[in-house]
Amino acid sequence: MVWKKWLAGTALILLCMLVPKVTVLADSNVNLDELTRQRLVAAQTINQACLKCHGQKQAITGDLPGQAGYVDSAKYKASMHGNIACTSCHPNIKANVKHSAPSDRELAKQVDKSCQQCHSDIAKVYANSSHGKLFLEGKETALCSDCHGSHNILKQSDPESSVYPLNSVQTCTKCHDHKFQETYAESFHGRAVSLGSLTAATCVSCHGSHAILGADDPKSSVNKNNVAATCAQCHLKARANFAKGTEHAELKAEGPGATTYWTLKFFTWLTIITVTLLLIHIEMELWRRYQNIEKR
Amino acid sequence: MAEGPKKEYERFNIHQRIQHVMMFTSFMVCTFTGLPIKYAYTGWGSRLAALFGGADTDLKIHLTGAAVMLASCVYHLFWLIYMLSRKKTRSWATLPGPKDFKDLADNLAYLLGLSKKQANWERYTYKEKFDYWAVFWGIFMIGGSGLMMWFPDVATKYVPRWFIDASRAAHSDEAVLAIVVIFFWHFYNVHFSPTFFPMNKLWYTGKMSRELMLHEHPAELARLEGGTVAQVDSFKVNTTALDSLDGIPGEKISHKS
Repeated sequence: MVWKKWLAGTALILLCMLVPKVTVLADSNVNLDELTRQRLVAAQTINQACLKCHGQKQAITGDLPGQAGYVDSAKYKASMHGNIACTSCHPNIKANVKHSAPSDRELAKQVDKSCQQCHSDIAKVYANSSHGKLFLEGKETALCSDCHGSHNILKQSDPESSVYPLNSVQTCTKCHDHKFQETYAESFHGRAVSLGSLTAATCVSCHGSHAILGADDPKSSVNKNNVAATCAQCHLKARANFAKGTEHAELKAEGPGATTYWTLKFFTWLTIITVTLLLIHIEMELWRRYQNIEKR
Repeated sequence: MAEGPKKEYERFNIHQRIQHVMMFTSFMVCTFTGLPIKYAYTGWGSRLAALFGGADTDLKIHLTGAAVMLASCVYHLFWLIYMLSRKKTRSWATLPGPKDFKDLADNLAYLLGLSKKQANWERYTYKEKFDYWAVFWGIFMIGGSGLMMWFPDVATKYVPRWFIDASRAAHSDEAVLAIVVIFFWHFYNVHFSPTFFPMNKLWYTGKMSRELMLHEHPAELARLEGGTVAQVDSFKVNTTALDSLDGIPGEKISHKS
């Protein structure tokens, strides 16, 4: 019902125009309850203290590798967690000058637990995923921060976000084989996304995100038995034929990409031969015309 | 209609002309919205797609063009059935025959300077028949594969997914073939050829003057006029100047009938 959406949209715009205070209130702390307000003030105080050192590149990276420990305070404040205290995610930090925090992966694993405290619903789903299972086994895997970032976490709909549809393929292929990126890029989905389509399928459209499972798992969205249903998320009907083919098939003379490979070869040579013959024909005509002029 | 040099013969009727206009407008639309998808990873590809409003809008315009092209195809098929079903209009002139091979041999001999006489062209030369059947083949290849990609949930009722994957390769590669043939071959024949530059106006008038018929389709003219006509070497005439009938620099045409 397009007219319903249109009506709702118009009503919303009118409301925002007539009552400008509505949007102002939503952004300020005035309307929040006392406890939340106190928390926000506390967070601001804590963050100010932390960022006094951690917000300055020179001050913090002196004896640390790379830019470890440095936080871009402007980016952090603009992120989804900008009004949360540093200590919410880094609870083990002790207030002394050189608090020995674990670095890199150890820190990421530690923070992962902090994420799960608030995002407990996602944590349950993640625990059953391929990534989550490896995490529980204590193996190297994708942690929250690997996909979502750390101090720069943004909503999925934000074009700057690492999980924004146009950025998500890059985020997955940080770890996953380059082969998948290449075959995806060749596909129609990949082309559409590279041209800026927000409706075409990215990795997560088919594979899922927090619940992701390997194709061997019968519950996986890309398991042979579930492929048709997964395609039908966008392509209307769950036809069995959707599964009779291989996504990420490489264009080689043998293997699942062979039909496409030989089709390409056929048309490439058809084009080369046809165009060559036609160009020769044109050249012959022009040559004869030139001869005719000469003879005049 | 005036007799003599100004006499004109109709070659394309209104249906054929509408079909051709539908075909070439949609062809241009599909070319310029389709190439950015094939060359999505080039700078010009993404800029061209952006010009059409980005990937999603580009595709919508492409599909609109496709709908017009398929409509022209359906129109043509219905018109063919109608034309062939009536004795008065029935014609098999577009079908290739042994004369085309003779014409090809004659023409090649002429072009190579081995013969002084041009082929005795009938209603459609082998070049024109090639163009016509190339579009016929192209419409089935590109239109068929395009429909499978447009409606994959319908296509998978009948064919497996790997078939649709392969048809995508066929779609864009056959399209590049069509684009190159149109922009080089067809444009040479109807635009850049010295006989017709800047264009052969037949696509909207539908008519060809008797003079041009003498050069381009002498055998047909003889058949239509129930006699013989003196064939004139079309390469020796600047026919663009014929339109204004103010003489041709260098050479005069003689026509007997």
